[in-house]
Parts: sequence; C-alpha cells; structure tokens
Amino acid sequence: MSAEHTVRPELGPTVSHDLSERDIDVLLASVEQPGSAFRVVTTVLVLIILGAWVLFSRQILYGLGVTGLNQPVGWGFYIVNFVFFIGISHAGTLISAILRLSNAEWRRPITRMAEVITVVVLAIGAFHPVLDLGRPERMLNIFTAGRLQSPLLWDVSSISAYFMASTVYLYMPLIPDIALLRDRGARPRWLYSFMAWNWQNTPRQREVLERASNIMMILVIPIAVSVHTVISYIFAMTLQPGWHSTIFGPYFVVGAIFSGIAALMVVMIVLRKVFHLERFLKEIHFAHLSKLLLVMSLLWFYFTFSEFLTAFFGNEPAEIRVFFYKFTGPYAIPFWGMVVCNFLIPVVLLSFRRTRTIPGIMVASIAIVIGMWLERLNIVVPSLANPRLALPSGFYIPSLVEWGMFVGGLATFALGFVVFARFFPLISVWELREGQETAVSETAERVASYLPDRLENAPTGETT
Amino acid sequence: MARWGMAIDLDRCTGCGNCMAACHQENNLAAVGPEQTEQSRAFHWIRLVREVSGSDAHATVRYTPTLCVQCDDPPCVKVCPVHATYLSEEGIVGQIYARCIGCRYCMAACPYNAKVFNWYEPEWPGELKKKSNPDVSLRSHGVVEKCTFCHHRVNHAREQARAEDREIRDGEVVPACAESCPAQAIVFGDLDDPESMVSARARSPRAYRPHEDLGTRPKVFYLEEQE
Amino acid sequence: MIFERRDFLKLLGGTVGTVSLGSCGRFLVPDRMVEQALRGPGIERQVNTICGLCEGGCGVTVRLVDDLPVGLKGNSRHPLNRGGLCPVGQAGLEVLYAPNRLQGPLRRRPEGSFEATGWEEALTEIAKSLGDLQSSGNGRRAAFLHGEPGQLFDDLARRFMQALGSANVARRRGETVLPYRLAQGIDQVPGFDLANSDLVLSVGLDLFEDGAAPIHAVSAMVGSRDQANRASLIHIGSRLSPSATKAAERLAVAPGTHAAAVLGIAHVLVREGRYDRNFVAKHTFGFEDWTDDRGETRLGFRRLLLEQYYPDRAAQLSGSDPRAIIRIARRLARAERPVVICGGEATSTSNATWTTLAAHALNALLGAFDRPGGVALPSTVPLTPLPPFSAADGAPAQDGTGHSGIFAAPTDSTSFGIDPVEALAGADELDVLFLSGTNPVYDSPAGSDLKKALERIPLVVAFSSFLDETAAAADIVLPVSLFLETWQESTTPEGVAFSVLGVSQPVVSPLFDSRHPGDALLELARRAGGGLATALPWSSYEAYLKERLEGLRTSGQGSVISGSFEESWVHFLEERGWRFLESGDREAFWQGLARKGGWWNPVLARGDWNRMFRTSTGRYEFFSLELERHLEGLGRSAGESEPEPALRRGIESLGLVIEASVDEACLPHFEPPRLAGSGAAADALTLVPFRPMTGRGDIGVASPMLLEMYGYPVLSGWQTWVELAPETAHQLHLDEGDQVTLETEASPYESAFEAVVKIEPGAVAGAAHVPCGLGREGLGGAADGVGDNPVRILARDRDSVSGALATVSTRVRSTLIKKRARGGARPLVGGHG
Repeated sequence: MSAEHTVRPELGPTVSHDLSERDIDVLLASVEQPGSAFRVVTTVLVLIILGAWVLFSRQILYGLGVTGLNQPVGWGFYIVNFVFFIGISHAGTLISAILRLSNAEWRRPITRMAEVITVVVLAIGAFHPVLDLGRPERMLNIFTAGRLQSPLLWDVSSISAYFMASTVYLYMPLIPDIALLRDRGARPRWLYSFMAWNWQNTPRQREVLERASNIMMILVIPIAVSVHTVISYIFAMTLQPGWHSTIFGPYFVVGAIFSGIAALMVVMIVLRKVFHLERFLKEIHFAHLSKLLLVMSLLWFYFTFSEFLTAFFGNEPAEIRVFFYKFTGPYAIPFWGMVVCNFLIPVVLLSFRRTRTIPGIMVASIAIVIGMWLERLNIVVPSLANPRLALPSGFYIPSLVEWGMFVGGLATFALGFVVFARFFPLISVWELREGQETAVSETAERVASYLPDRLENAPTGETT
Repeated sequence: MARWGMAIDLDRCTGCGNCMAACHQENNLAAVGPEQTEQSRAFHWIRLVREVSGSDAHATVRYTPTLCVQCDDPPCVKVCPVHATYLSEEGIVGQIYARCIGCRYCMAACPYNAKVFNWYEPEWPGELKKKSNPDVSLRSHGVVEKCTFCHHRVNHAREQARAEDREIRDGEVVPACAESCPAQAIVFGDLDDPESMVSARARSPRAYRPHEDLGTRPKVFYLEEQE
Repeated sequence: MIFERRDFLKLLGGTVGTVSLGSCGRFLVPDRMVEQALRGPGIERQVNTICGLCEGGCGVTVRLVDDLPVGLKGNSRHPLNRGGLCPVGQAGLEVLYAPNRLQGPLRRRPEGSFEATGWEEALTEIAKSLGDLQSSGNGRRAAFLHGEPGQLFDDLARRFMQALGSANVARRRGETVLPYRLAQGIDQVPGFDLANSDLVLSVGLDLFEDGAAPIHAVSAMVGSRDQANRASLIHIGSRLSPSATKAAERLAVAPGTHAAAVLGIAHVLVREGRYDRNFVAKHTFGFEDWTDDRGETRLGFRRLLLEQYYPDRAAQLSGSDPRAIIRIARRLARAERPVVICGGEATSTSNATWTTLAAHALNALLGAFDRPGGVALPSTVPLTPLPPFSAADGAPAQDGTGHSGIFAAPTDSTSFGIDPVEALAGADELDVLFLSGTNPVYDSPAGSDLKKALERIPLVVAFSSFLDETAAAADIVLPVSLFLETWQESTTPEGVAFSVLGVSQPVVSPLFDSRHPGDALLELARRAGGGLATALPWSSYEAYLKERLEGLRTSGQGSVISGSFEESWVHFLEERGWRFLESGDREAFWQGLARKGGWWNPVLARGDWNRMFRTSTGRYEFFSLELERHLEGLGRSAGESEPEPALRRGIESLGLVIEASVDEACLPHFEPPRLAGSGAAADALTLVPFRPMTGRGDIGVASPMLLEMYGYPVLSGWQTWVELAPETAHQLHLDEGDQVTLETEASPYESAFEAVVKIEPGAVAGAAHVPCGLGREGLGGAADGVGDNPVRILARDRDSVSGALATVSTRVRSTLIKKRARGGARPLVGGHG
C-alpha cells in the first residue's frame, strides 16, 4: 500500500490514497504488457468459438433438425441461453448506474467491469434468437413486416435500445482513460487517438462528461428494467401453463440482477487474480456486493415461492402438470438443483462472516450463475413439454450443436473480456483518481450534511 | 362473408385414421422418417389424439381428431413478429411460408399445439413429389406450417360461385379430412349461416369447443360421445 | 448422443451429395409425365376406379390434373364405402410412385441373383415349360396360388390351370368358410347386413379396422346413417383396439376364449326365453334334444347351454365379467335387428371353427337370418358364363379331375381342409408354380416352409409389383401393374350383404414395363398353344372382363353404381319382382360401368330358405350332421365300426378334450385353445398378432406416410410394438417404451422378434398383442427393416376342424433388451406427476 497520510487542516485528519505511477502501471499492465499469455488465451478461445461455428454450420446446411428440438418442445438451449445471457447483462449497467446514482463511493473500481459484462453478454445474448431461427436469412422481415403486437418485437426494440445505451455508457467513462493511454503512447496509437475524441481533460470536457454520464445513468435504468421485463413477456403473454403469470416481469428482473451480480463477482474475482488487482478490488468491495447478492437471493426465493405456491394451491390441471414435471418429474434434478444453487448455497455461504470470504463468495457466485441458468431451463422447457391437450409429455435432449453453441457463447464472453482487457483498463483509472482527489472530501462533506446542524449555524426564525 | 367452422362428432368417429392420411396427401405433407419420428418430429395437420382414462381393465380410450381450431382470437397470430400468421377475413388462420422466419413463437403460444415445424427440408423419396397436389404449395425447411381448413378448396368454391353469380352453398366446401371420412363425422361450413349443417351441429347440446375457457373462440366444435 | 455416424455422413453428404444428385436411385418416371406436370394447362378431371390395395375393393375417385393423378378420395356413390376411404387407400399414389417398384421382369441367374429380362424372353420361357407339361400330360405338375381380390381373376386362373390339366389352384382368403358350411351348408362367408342392423355384436373382429371391408362397416353402421339411427357396436375381444374403444360395450376376454363368452350370452338368451322361438322352431336343427335313427337321444344345444354355460362359468372360462355377459345378452334381446359377426383373433385359433359356430348360433337364436339387419346371402353376380372348352389331350376333364389336387385335404388329414400355403410347402411333385397377389413367405406362419419348398420347384413365377419376400424366392418375377394402371375387378368382399362388382380402370398408363397378371396369363396361353390357347381365347384381360360383365347387362339385375334416386327406385321395383334391361348397347354399358366404378345388386331373394340353409336337414344346424359324419369317418378309418365309438375315436384323433358327451363336439362349444411354447411358465404371454388399419393389404407400407402413421392408435410409427396390460407389464418389470424380444421355442425356424412395449390399460392380462405388416424386405428404402414380423416365430398350429393355420397359437416370453432411452419412446398417457 502506498497510502500517504496527510492532514488536511479544514477537514481534520483523514487518509489519502493517491494513485502512484506504479498503481497506474498495474492498472494498465494488461494493455501495455499483454505478453504471450494474451495470445495463447485468445487463440484457444478463438479456436473454441470456431469449433462451435463449425458445428453450427450443420444447422445452416440442414436446418434446425440438427438440434434436439422437436414438437412440442420447440424452444431449447438457444432460448434458454438468450434469456440467461441477457439476464447476466443486467449486472452491469444497472448496478453501475444504481451505484453511481446513489453515490456509493466503493463503486469506483467495479463499474467498468460491470459495464463490460453488459455489452459483451448483451451482444452474445441478443444473437441467440437468431441462432434459433429456422430461416435466419429472413431475419430482416422483422423490420420490413414487423408486427408491433408481438412481444418478440418489443424485445428487439428494448434490447437494441439497451445495447446502444450500455455501449455509450461504457464508452463515455472510458474516454479519459483512453486519453491516458494515448498520452502514454499505447499502441495502436490511431485507435486511442481516435477513440479519445481529443480529450484534454479540460474543465469544460469534464463537465460535459459528467452531465452526459448523469443523463445516461438515469436513462439506462428504466431501459435495463424494461429489457428483462419484456423478455419475461415473451413467455407471460402466452396462455401456456407455467408461463402465463403476472409476476414474471419483476421475477425476471430480479433474477437478472441476481445472476448479473453473481457473474460480476465471478469476473471480478478471476480478473483480480489474473491481473493482480487485489489492492483495488478489496475484500470490502466483495463484502458489499455479497450482501447485495444475499438480498437478491432472498428476493429471488420470495418470487419463486410465490410463483410456485400459486400454481400448486390453485391446482389447475395444466398448471399442476407442469408443477409436478418440475417438482418430481423429469425436471426434478434441474429444479431442485436450481433451488440449491440459487438459495441454499448462497444463503448459507453469504450469511456467515466465516464463509463470506473470497473463495466462499466465488463458490456462491458460481452456484448462482449455474442456478440461474437452470432456472431459465426450468422456465422454458417444462411448459412446452406439457401441452394442454391430452398429448404425451414432450422431452428435450440438446444436441451437440446446441452444446457447442453454448460453450461457444461462454468462450465468446471470455474472449470479449480478454480483448477488452488487452485494449482498455479494466478499472477506471480516472475515476479512482477522481476518488482520491475529491471523493474523500466530498464524502466527508456529504456525511457532514447528514449530521444535525450546529445550533449557531442554523438560520434563526426558520426553525420551529 | 362466411365464417368457416367445423364440427366433429366424436360419437361417429371410429378412429380409422383416414382424416390423417387424407390431410397428409391433400396438403403435401412429407413423412419425416424413423429417426425424426423417434425424436418426436413427425407431423400431421390433423391427428388422432388418444386419451386414456383409468388404468385397469375398465380403462376407456378416447380418440379425438385434433387440428388447428382456427381461433377467432388466435394466440399465435398475436405473437408472430413478422405477420407470417394471420387471421383471414373468413376466419381461417393462415401461414405465409415465404415470410415465416421460423422463430416458432406461434408454436409456443398455441395452446392447442396445432402448429408444426419443418426441422429439415421435407424429403420425397423416389418420385413421390410427382403426386403433389398442385393447389397446395410445398414447404421448405425452417418454416412453421398448419392446417388451413383446406382453404384452397374454399377459394376454388368461391371462384366457382362467383362465376355462377351465386353464394357458396352449404356443403360445397369440404376439406380433405371431412371428404373421405367413412363415418361422416366431420362437417364443414359457414358458422354465420344459421341454416348450415355446421351451425346446427354447433348448437347441439353435445357440442363443446376445446379449451373454451382460454377465450380463444375456436371455430372447431366437438360433439361429445353418447352412451 | 445426438451426433452420430449418420449425422457425420450427412455432413459429408453436403459436399458429396451435389455431385451425385443426378444419379440417385433407379426410379425413372417417363419424361412425358414430367413435361406434363411442368407445362400442362392444368386441366382437372375426376375418374372413378376401385382401390386394389386390399381385398375390400372400395370405390375411389382419382383427381387428375393434366392426366396426372394428384389425389384420391372415396367414391361417394360406391355402395361399399359411400365416399369413405381408409389410410391405405389414401396412400395409393405413394405406392404408385414408390421408389422400389419393379420396372421390368426379372430372371434368376443360376448363381442366385436376379437379372433384368424382357417380357418376351420371360413369357417364352414360361410358355415353353407349360407347353412341355401340356404335351407330356403332366399338367398336374403345375400349381397356382393367388390372392387377387376379384372372382373373375380366380375364374381365369382356374380355367388356365384346368386347360393345362391341373386342379392345383387356390385362392388365399381371409376367413375360412367351413363353419358356415357346417351350420348353413353354404360355401361362402354369408353377408351381415350391417347397414340395417341396430346392434352389431362383433366377436373377436376389430370391425372398424379389420375384416374384409372395414370401411364398409364404418360407413354402413355410422357414416351413411343419421345420428338417431346409427348402429351400436358391442365388442368381444382381448385387445383394446380402436373399434373396441368405440364400442358401446366391450367385453374383454382372454385370447381364444371368445366362444365361452358367446355361449354365456346364448345361455342368458335361452334361459330368459328371449330368443326367436319361431325361427328356432321352424328353421333350426339340434336346438332341443333329439333322437337319431338308431333311437338314441342326442344332446340338444339348449341343454348344452343351460348345463354348461351359465354366466359365471362362461365368465370364468373366458376371464371376463358375468354381469357384462348378462348385460350384453339383454341388450341383444332388446335390439330390434341385432346381428353377430365373428372374425379376427376369434378365428385365428385352434378352436376357430367352434368359436365361429358359437357366434353364428347366436344369429340363429336371434332369428337374424333373412331379415333386414341380419345374415343374408348376397345374390349371385350374373356374370356371363365361361364357354366350355375341350381339355388338352390326356388332361383331366373340366370337372371330373382324376385327382383333387394338392390344395385338397390329404386323405389322412383329420381336418376338412388344408391351408394352401401349407399344402404348397408340402407338395413335392411340382414343376411350375404361379404366385400372384399374395406374399405367403412373409405373412403365412408356414412361410419359412414354403420358402424352402420354392427352392425345390424348378420354375416359380411370381407376379408382383415389388421384389417382396415371396417374389425374391421365385425364378421369374413378372411386374404387376398397380390398380391405377390397369383394368381389374373386385368382387363382393366376405361378409358384405349385397353383391358388388367393382371395375377398376387405368387412370395412368403403366409407369413401368408392367402388366396385369390376367394379361400375362392370356399371353402365356396364346404362346403355349394347344388346349390353353383354346380355353383362353381373349385378347386381353380387358376383353375378358368386358365379355364376362356383359352378363350383368343382359340379366337385368342390379344396376350400375350411381347412388341416385333412379337407382333406389330400380331396386325398389326389383325387390317386387320387376326386371329392367339396362338400356343401351354393350359398349355403352361397359362405358357406364367404367365411368361409375362398378355394378351392385342390393336386392336379396327373401324367403328363399332353401338357398339360405343348404344342409342335409335344410335347416340351420346347431348340431352339425356334417361334422358328425366327418368325425365318425375319422373314427371308422381308425378301425371303429359302431357310430358312437367311431365318433369318440374321431374326436380323439382331433386331440380334443370333451368329457361330457361326444355330441358336444358337433355342437358349438368352448374348446380351450391350443397354445404352444414356453410351457406353463408363469411369465409366458399369449402372442396375439393383429392387423392394424394401416397394415391392410400387402404393399401399403411401401408408402412412407403409412409407415409414419403405422401405429397411429398408439402414437407410434416406424416400429413394431407389443401391447401389454399394465398388470402384465408390472409383473414383467417392463415400462412403456422398453425394447424387448419375444421368444418362443415353438417355432421351427426362428424363435425371437423385437418390439417396443406399449402399456395398454384395458388389454387382457397375459396377452401380448403385436401388429403384423412390418419387418419387410424388398418394398423399398422406407419399409425395409422397419419393425419386425411376428409371424416368423409362430408355432405351426391349425384349426382342428378346418385345417386353416392358426396365428393365435404361440406362447412367448419377453426379454428386456433395452430400457427406454431417455425421451426415446414417449409415454402414452400424459405424465401427471
């Protein structure tokens, strides 16, 4: 720690953590000294992704028959992963915006990663419905012949808006850091000088950036909420048992934020280790986030409980068939696995200080990511597999192509991070620096403003 | 403007399966083969759905010819993102194969599981394609298809009626499934015409519509079995 | 896993396929047809013809666009099906265009494989053999077995063989006529007037799917009646078939025990006095005890019923419910025009003759003969008689053949007859054998024996559209035109109450170098010369049909199918004795026949009891005197001279177990079915092969559609399944979708076949119902290797009396080979919990 203790006379004794040049070297290490590891990892990931596409070429050649989909289970991994990845994307922008909005000072080293997750995962997720199309070459019919009444079209609008907003929201706070890289001579220069947009850190520029950020962070919250709400509407707007539910909107949003935070924690822990960021991502950050995670876990359980109790208590034949398909039927393992992963493991691990350690949090987060994926599976398949009519229950065994595309999706996610880390700092340097320069005093002032006014300062006559 | 509907008398139906075969031939459906059937991808626009109640020697089995019920408020139409499925003026839920992007949302939304998907390009062994009905287009892979109430026959009857300057007569339009039904269990006609056979059957105390509770307002009526 | 070798090949195929696309398959539709389809003006027309895919002979209307057939539907005027059609009929066009149809004659090379040849060479070769037989007077060394649906073809084949000097002609038919001969003295299965009955009791027959003309049953009982007047169905059987599920009442009985249940019903009718006393008194024999000419009191049917078949015992014997037996009896008694029809599994057992006699006895008790909605004898079709001909030198004369041929029962036989396939399999003095319209190697329990026999016969000529199992064992295979390509006829199917003659006309010219077997026979006769040429002078089968059917016009009976008001008026008057000569000349009549699809005559000669009962007593014989004579004869040839001991000895030689009285053997009674194999093992099942609707005919499964919907009643295609009752499955630890082998040691050749388990609530415990018709070879890519054929493993057993091969004869044990693949086969009932 290169903490430097100074005394600011007007505020009394406090701590200052100015960023040293070494700190900045560490933060920019991934860009400035990518090393051979970068190439190896990139090559491996690209190979995995290429492999997935080779498998997928069969689908392009022969049609969706190469998947495990059938009648009546017409949706499978592609849609599950679509919902899952888009859910993860809520980690980012939403968390970052909420934390920024609430002036949570501990957000500074976190927001960048969160925003990167959003953009990367959103791109992957949004592509999944295209994989799922029988005739992807006709995709543009959505624009030429779109039907606004269709929830799928709401999705298209909502996701594209979210993608735009979160990209901008990632990019704007990146500008000062790009300028920093430009100034430090990082290569390729043209990239940084182009993307820095002539940032000179003038007060005028800072003001514009701040105002733009403020607008975006307020704008992005409703868009983010709308995205997963609308995704839930894809299901909730049908009459299918297990889907046709009013709480699906908030349930999906909660689940999305839940999985998003968990994914963020996983990413943070991994990158912290890989890029030696222990000094920036401290235990306190994880502690804060894990409390949030715990709250979300309880909230998730509350929604799940309400959802299933309603189905069970109502005992409507079609509903109850889906219910038991999950509780005791073929989907018992995914279902109870989901409950264990999303509720039991995180609640146990995160409730006690002894287990709320980095490894404990890592385990809980991974469990939640898996659990939330299972939740998406439990939502999509059992309802389709149990038609209302007296038809036999369907089954669904994903094919190699679908598994391949799933792995490919995960690899793309990793690749997105690797490439981002290769070109941009994973922790916002200027925001940390800003934190050091102004946050301490601002926070002190803010805290002071919460305290009861001193008697002599109180405007007389206005007090009662 | 007619509002086409169908009434299927389950008391008359003997479960011979002819409706399935007739539809298959009329509408150029292709067999998908053993592997695909094993994967639950065999498809028919109309099929006999078998319902077993009871598990002992007194078990009863019921066969219901099940097809698209041509809802007046079709859940599938509302969710199609590209207007590929639509409700025609005469109440037939159609599918535009050339526009369908194959998202299968309509299949997921249909409470009757009436729609089917071409998982692969349909195969016509040998020269089987030669016997295709020229009135019905062949589908390609990746699109959803469904019962059309043999609307090509409706069109044909309409043209005929127009040429003769008259209305379409009751019983003039007969879908393939109804045409060769040896039990004459299926009646087709205009539900808006109170005199039509189908209206009469729809008014029967035995008549019910599948999942009426869903508010989809189906135009296929079933007549309950009698003792 | 999903990515299998096949998928990999497919992936490869993506690149390779484009290269070899031009050369796939050996099927070539003539260019002119392709041209027509692509560039025709789109002119539509409809042609009536007769479906030739099974023995039913339903009328079909073919829709042609630019003279290419594009659709089939039922001919709404045809009296058999009244516009209805079955899935097999619908598949007609798929069979027509099936990829594996024979495109030209084939000849077996010395080393065993087939080579293509021409009609010219093939016919010359056959004609030479025939000529040799003719000139050497060895006509009897030729035989002909066929299964063509039309009577006229049968006539032609018989004449052909007779002219050759052989009596060896047999036609394979569905039901054996023996019980009707014993009870009624007739040599045909009588008609059952389903169209006018209000209650049909079906014993063992899945009336709406099986039998000679199921679509006729549906249309007569349901389709052509209004809702209030439709006939009810009561079903007695071991399987929950679609017909059984649609029956108003169903009595589940153990396989082969139908007679017990039927006699229980008869008991209730008699005990409650609710039988037709008038009819029984006037027109039956052997109801009450009677005294024979030796002064001995013989057992009457009434006493037998009352003593032996009270409902509790009947139910116990048949594994059914006594209350249901009583209920059914009362229902029959209440009905105005009930009729009882027997067939299917009930006539596929070793006790089939007595079961049929029992069921038919119900008709007698109900007075169902010669009344609307009862048992009727359709009027004789007034065909032009064949001109007499002088037989070839040295050959037996037309009628009095010196010997009765290989298809007659051998002198040492205990039964009345012998199954023609078994007869062929045992025949060793044949030089030439013709097979047409039948596939016994595949579908007969004696098929394996026959296949061996075919190897011994120097020249086996098979008429077939496919290189099927039987054709593959022939020496020369002659391709047959399908019903859409040729003139042919169909005659009244068994069990239909009116006479009908369907005329099938070509709607397309033959796609390949194929002919109707009749044309080939005529051509052969011309080439062989001698008596054959004289006896068969017709230039073509069409000319032959034309000449024979001219009799319909000149007789003035019946009418060309039209379904019109005029037609019903004509029939109304005819019933009252008027006769109408068809207007128009011969050619116009022929045109009309072809255009409308046939001729029919619903008019029955009422009150002609001498025609109805041609027994020695002139009555319906509950106690069959002919059967008594036969049994006595057996006893006598075994050395007994006195009637009573001779009878007893005769019964013993049949291997029966009658203890009460020897008279019982001549009365309808319940004889426990003989089942071979697996001893008395507790887990052994009775194998009951059945024919599903989709398995009708022999070549229907060349259609991919039919294979795909093969098991539509149980939601499974492309596989052979075995239906088990839940308790049976539970006892054997089997689940829905498990793959099992059914094994038996009873079959002389093969012992096991594979099936997928379907659990059928409502099926009788201890029975394994398996569909026939799959497990084919030679029908083409779609059908070959799909499913398995249960007939292969059947024990060789016969109906004790008639000698017909029994198919419900075998006990099997099941062995699990594969548990249900996850998601492989699907449960029939939705998974509630």
